[in-house]
Amino acid sequence: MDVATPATSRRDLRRVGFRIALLAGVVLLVAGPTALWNAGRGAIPAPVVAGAAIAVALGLILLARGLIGEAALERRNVEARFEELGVENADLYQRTRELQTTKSQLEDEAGQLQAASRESELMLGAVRAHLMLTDDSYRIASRYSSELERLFGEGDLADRNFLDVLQHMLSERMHKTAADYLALLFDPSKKERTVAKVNPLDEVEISLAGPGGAPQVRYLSFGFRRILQDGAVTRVLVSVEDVTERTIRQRRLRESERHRSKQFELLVGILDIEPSALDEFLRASKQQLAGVDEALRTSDFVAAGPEQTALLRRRLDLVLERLHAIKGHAALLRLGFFERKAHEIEQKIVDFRHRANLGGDDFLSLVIAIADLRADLDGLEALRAKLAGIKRSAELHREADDDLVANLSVLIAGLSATSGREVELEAERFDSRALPVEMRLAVKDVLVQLARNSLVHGIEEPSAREAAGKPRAATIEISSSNASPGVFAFTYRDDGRGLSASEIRRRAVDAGMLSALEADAVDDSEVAAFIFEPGFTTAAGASLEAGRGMGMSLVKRRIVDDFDGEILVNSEPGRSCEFSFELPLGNAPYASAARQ
Amino acid sequence: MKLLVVDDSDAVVRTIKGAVGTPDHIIETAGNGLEALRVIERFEPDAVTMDISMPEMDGLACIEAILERYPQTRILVITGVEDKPTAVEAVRRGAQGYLFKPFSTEELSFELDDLFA
Repeated sequence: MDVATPATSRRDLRRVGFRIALLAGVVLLVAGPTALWNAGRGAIPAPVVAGAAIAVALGLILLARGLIGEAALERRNVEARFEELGVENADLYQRTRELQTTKSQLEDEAGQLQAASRESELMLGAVRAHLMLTDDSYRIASRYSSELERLFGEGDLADRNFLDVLQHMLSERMHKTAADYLALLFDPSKKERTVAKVNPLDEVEISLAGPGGAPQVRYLSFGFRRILQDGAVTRVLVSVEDVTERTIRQRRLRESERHRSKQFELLVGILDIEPSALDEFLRASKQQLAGVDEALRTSDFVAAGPEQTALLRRRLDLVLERLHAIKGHAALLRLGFFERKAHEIEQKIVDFRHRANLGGDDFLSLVIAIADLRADLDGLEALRAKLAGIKRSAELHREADDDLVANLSVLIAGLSATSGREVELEAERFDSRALPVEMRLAVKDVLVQLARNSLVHGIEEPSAREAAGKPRAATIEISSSNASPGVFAFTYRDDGRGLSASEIRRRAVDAGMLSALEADAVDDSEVAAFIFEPGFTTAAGASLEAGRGMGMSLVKRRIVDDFDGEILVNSEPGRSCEFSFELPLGNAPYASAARQ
Repeated sequence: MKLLVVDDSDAVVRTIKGAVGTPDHIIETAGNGLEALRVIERFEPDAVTMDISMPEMDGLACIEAILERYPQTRILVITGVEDKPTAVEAVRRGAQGYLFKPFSTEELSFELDDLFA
């Protein structure tokens, strides 16, 4: 507006004109009377008076003109200014309207944004998985499901480092793994499918401080999804779900399924078994476990130093023997569940025996396993009670055939099938029904063990037997006699390959029982004694069937230690192997328990 | 395709051989990591299936040793060990696929194909 326009310059010219008129008017008004005054001293000529009057009149006209012109000019100036102001006002009005429009537009947009934000919040809140974004420096983006704060037990998560947030929830090992895993997620050279497959946080146990400060265990499931921009992983979408209830439910379900299938297996297993045989198994197994407890005195193991390792090892041998007896008995009744269970514990003990030092921790896991076995035996007993309806009287049962023979026959049939041997059991001259229960159990343990040994070590495959000129099917013969008063004598014989003196020598040396020199010095007739030593075995690997080298030491303990009996071995290499036993009747069972 | 099966269990080796035993595949086997490294020298396989827990040299160490010398080799870990940190470590060291035992023939074929996808 400061720029001069033609209108203003013209106004200025007119203003100069008005000012000159004003000035001329004043000069004339002053000049007219002055001329009269000067003329007053003399005679005043009429033209002078007229000139002066004209000058005054002209001066008055000019003065008036100048004043009026100036005023008009000023008015016009004001008008022009007013006009300009009007224009400016219109401008301002226009701008105000524009601003108002912009403002309402902005308000609209803000409203839309707010609605969008409400919607996204609604979405974040509605999905079961709670979401957040993290960038490649693991910074959590500002918008995330608010529920995450509760899940993580943290306040504001925006801009926090995701790994730092995870740190207080995870174990050190899992936290390191999580760090490695995030690096994999942001590494585009690693295939997303493979990376997703090894997600270490898909069900992770976290512990948070609970309401009272006590740690609270929860299970969270984290899912990760890459967000790609121009082939680079710029961000990862993290979904988090609290799966605590689901996880706990699943675990309970698995646990109860295991329990049910165990119960079912036990139930099916015992349906076929004579109740009295089951009772016998329960009684015998509990007796064996009592012996195990005796051998595994907690304090001895917990306080044991290296110098006691040898003692502990001997104790473990005793435990092994007793478990072996339980296993054999279970196999006899085809109680596969208990057979496996005892086998697993045996396996554990065999592992210990190979260690240089034995300590409390080794022992503890063993005690737990045995407690478990005991609980299962209790379970079996409860089941047995439920099936009381099929119980038969013991007297009636004693009249029937010797169930020991029936059971042994079942065991042999089972072992034959798995080992590819053909075997016939000849037991017509065997009868143990008159024996006291405890002694009968010992006889049963012994026969079970010998039958297992026959099928694993003694009896050849049918083709090998044919090649040796023997019948394809081997024969196991058991017989008993009450010929000598006060003595129960029984014999077990198979027509397998017999004992090999050289093999026994070699194994005895391998097991550290003899030096090579000593082995050579032992007579063939004495060499069989070594098979009764704990730890002696002639089979290469331990299977469920045999090979722990514990079987014959069990035979010796049951006959010699428990009942003061005698064992005689008679083997014809390549033809047969015979064990004869004599048990003095009337001896207290487990006579040797006090001696141990 | 030349495939090296590294596993100390004969049963698994037989299963894998049975599953991918077509004329398109030439298969060699190794019972542990050290043996695998020896076989690789002469066999130069396109892909390797790798067990994790093995005697002598375990799978993780073997993955690293193989890729150091033959970075083009595709490695599929096949393991019964469901230890998540081990799985992450295997992928970190360069395994391209991961398969848990027990697996079906279809799963195995898919994973082997996917190595080259």
